[in-house]
Amino acid sequence: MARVHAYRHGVACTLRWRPEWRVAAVAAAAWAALLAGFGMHTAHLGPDHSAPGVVAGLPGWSLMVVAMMVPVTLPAVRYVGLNSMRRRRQRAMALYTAVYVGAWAMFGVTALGTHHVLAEHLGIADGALLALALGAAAGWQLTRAKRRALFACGRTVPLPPLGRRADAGCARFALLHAGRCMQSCWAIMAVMVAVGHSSLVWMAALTGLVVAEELTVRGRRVTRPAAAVLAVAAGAVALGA
Amino acid sequence: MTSYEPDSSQLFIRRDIWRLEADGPFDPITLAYAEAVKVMQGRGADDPTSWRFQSAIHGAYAAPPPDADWNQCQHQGWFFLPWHRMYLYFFERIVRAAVVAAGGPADFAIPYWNYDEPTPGNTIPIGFRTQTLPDGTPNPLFLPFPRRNSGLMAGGQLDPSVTSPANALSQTEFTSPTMGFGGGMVGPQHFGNFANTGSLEQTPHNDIHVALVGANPVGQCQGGFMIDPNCAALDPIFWLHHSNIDRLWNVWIASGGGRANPTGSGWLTAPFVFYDETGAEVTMTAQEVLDSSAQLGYAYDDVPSVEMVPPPPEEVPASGGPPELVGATEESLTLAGEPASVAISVPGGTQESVRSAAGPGPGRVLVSVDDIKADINPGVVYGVYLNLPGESGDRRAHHIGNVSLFGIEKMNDPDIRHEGAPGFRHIFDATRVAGKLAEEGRWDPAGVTVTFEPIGVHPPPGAEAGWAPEEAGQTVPPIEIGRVSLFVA
Repeated sequence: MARVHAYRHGVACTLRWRPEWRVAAVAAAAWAALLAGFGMHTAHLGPDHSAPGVVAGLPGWSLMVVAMMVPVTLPAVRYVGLNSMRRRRQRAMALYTAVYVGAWAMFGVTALGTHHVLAEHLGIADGALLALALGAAAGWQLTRAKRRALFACGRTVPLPPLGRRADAGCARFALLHAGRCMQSCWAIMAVMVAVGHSSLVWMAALTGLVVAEELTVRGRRVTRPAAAVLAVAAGAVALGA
Repeated sequence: MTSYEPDSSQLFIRRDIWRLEADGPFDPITLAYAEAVKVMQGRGADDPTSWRFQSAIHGAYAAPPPDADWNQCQHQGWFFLPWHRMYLYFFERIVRAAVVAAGGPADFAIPYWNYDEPTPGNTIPIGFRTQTLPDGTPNPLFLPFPRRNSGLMAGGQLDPSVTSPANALSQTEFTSPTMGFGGGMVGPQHFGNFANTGSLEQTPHNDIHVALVGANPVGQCQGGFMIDPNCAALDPIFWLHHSNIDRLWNVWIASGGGRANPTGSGWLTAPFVFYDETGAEVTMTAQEVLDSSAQLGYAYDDVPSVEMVPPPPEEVPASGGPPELVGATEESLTLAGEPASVAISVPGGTQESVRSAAGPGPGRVLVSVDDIKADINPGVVYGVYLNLPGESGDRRAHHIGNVSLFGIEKMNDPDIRHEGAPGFRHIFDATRVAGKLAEEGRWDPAGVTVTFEPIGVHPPPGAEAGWAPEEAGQTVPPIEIGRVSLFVA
């Protein structure tokens, strides 16, 4: 009994130091849902590339964003949690996450819409679009803007302690990090638009790359090799297209 | 590139510069150092044993020669101490080789400047304030205003709150989530985040870097050297400053009480690149520099008595949770060389935790200065005080630490990687001050006042009249502080 109590106490202590665990659980749930097949049929435009498909694809896109992009922002969620008053901690982290995911959803509208125009109105083949996206992602990996976005992950904004100003501070912080994250990852997410988001293998591989680059020191060493892999993939897709 | 195996068959002694200079500015060691600096300054910047190359290992604005490892200094994290020990060790070998080649003392070792001593200890060593060497040639150890603070070059005294390592030495953990002696757990990085700065790195290390230049900031190394990591090591006093910081690491370990270096392989085995006296590239790790006598063949002449602040309570309090935010400012604050105060209100629901944190027991009171922004290092060390009563009060009893921005240029550089916890912040342990106020019945859990005051240079004893250092009329560039927060644990 004492051992169980000590174990529970240990878990409780750990979770207090990791207030972002609920948001991490949401990201894990998104992965579970995708693995179970939820959202896969709506997570891309579908074969018809129809305009309504852009809207229909948004829920699936949002689910994918939660799975792929929320993990990289967990340190910022933790910062919000540890720097908010206890009584509004959960609200602050939820608000941050909602604004962050919302910003990515807006990105999704733009990306899906662009894909729709390219595929439907300009008649560019899916394979060519994918090769284009992979090539863009490979090139972007090597840019100074990408590197600067990665290096800026420690930036914060003041978080007022109470009231509407506190909410506004959280929202501002979320927009700052969403913008920074988009600067770093837009091309990789464009690949997911082109690939149709229906491939869990692509999702897992690109999430691994993004998480490594964003959250680990050594992971940033893979930025250049990843560019090479993406370039090779672009070539392979182009040849096969 | 090879792993370096030091020759520790001879024990070199690093001595107190002011004891060496007790009889005048140019004792044999100081003179040998000056002559060696001249020799090194005469070497080309692409020579690893040159003055400019050695300085650039720490930091430089210039582009490095092909394959040269410049801009390597480790700050704002737990590699600060071992990296600078290695850096100083190889620099000392290079200087010693130059000294011996010139027929100087074969037992040469870099002296240390223990500025936390009464006058003259707290003034710049006289050999570094004397314009010419005994033979009448220019003294390379001498740097005039604006390279150094004019008041200090006129014999002015550093403030004890800038020089004292007492708070750092009172820490019992090398690294910890909220505070520690040696810095936060981060990967190898040039500069990251004030929040991961160890207590010793902040005070006296950072504060001395800033105070030695003062409020005459000019970027790109056109003004003071010590204030900017990209030119700090061009000032010959840099090496004596770091010799003292290195000595304090030994003092901390020798203080016992559970004080110990990290044992994880991440800290012990991370390799760093330097150059030996032949110019050969070598690597070294923290586990090779833990014992300066046995592993590197040098020791310090003395371990002086240090006024120890009582150690803070246990790092992890009974609750086992992180520090709780109990109050913070709503508005940002701008510091521009003048004193400023902010009030932090504590809502009723959390006042009890503020009351108990200051009382007897394992509680802690922390003040965090968050979201610090500055375009340029203003050259001012700001003392931070909790509930300062006014001009008549005992300021030292309310002093919780200093804000100084050594390295802000690097932190502003978007092309430098920053590791560790997000947020540019200084965190201060105010438990001792809060506890004392509580003992005296002057601790109000409904709120606190945090005061920032610039810390100046004091005139030499007896020279108060007419004291007017050149920095007095300078416009001080602003620092913006986004939030000041109160935490309890």
